[in-house]
Amino acid sequence: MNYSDSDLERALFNLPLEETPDGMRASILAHTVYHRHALPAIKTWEVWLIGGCLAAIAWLMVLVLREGFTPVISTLNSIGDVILYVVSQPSTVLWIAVGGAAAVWLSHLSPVIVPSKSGVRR
Amino acid sequence: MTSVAAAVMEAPLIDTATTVDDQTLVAETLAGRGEAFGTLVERYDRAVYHLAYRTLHDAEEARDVAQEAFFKAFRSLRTFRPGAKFSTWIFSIAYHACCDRLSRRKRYSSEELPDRADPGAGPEQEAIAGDDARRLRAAIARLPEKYRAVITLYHLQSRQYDEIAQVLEIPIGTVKTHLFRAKEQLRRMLNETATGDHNEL
Repeated sequence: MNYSDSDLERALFNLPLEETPDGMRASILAHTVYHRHALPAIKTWEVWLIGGCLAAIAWLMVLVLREGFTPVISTLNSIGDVILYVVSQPSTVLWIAVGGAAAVWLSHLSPVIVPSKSGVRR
Repeated sequence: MTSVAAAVMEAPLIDTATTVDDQTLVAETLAGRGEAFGTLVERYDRAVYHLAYRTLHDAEEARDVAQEAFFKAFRSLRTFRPGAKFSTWIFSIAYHACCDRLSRRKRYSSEELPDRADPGAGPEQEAIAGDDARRLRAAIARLPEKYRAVITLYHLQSRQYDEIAQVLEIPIGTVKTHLFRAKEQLRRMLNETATGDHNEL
């Protein structure tokens, strides 16, 4: 058979594509759209919280080891006094009550967000 | 339009006419809908692998190149120019990856030179006595790399010269010249094979 130009064209366009190897598509998807960075076991704010607690414990231990329990107890007492003084102020109590009420009220709302009409602004 | 061109239009190699166009899929992927990229992969993975395999003649390397091309496209999807064709972009990424591998091969061995025919090419050449498709594949495999790429893209891009020129980063005139010469060589090889088969009989 002598191949003419149109024979060749026909043969070229009838040539099927190579079959992809098994698992290639799955591998591509696994490394792209289904790829998630490994989440850290603890969140950033938790790291700060744990760090703060550890620092407070270390500070207390150093204080106890250096000067015994008496100064620790007096320090904790003074901190407690300050907190009690702040909380016992009528204005503080009022703001805490307002904040709490607002939080309770907001928690009972179920807002529905209506999308704008195809982004047309008037 | 010739009957061949009509047949191509009737049965495109890459099914893009079904539902959503590539531009929309890219936009949806950027908006966080991963499954849209999945559709793009489904649409082009076979064609990209085909291009890589035809260029490199190595199934493992072709697989690596096809995967890398999609990884790279996914990572740099934000740089994809609106109005451009996704197929041209992904073929371009894959073709450049192939060129890198070919130049690495050239550096480390003298087996494959991009601009010359490869008469000892792989198992496909052994299949010359087989059916027409196998014979044609074997003939394409024996073409010099630059002609092979043009023929493969001509096939994949449904004869769009400007798209082929963009992927290969060569002028349209050069695409046409390469295509003409590639077809000449293919026709000669196929006719020689056919004559050989006839004589054997």
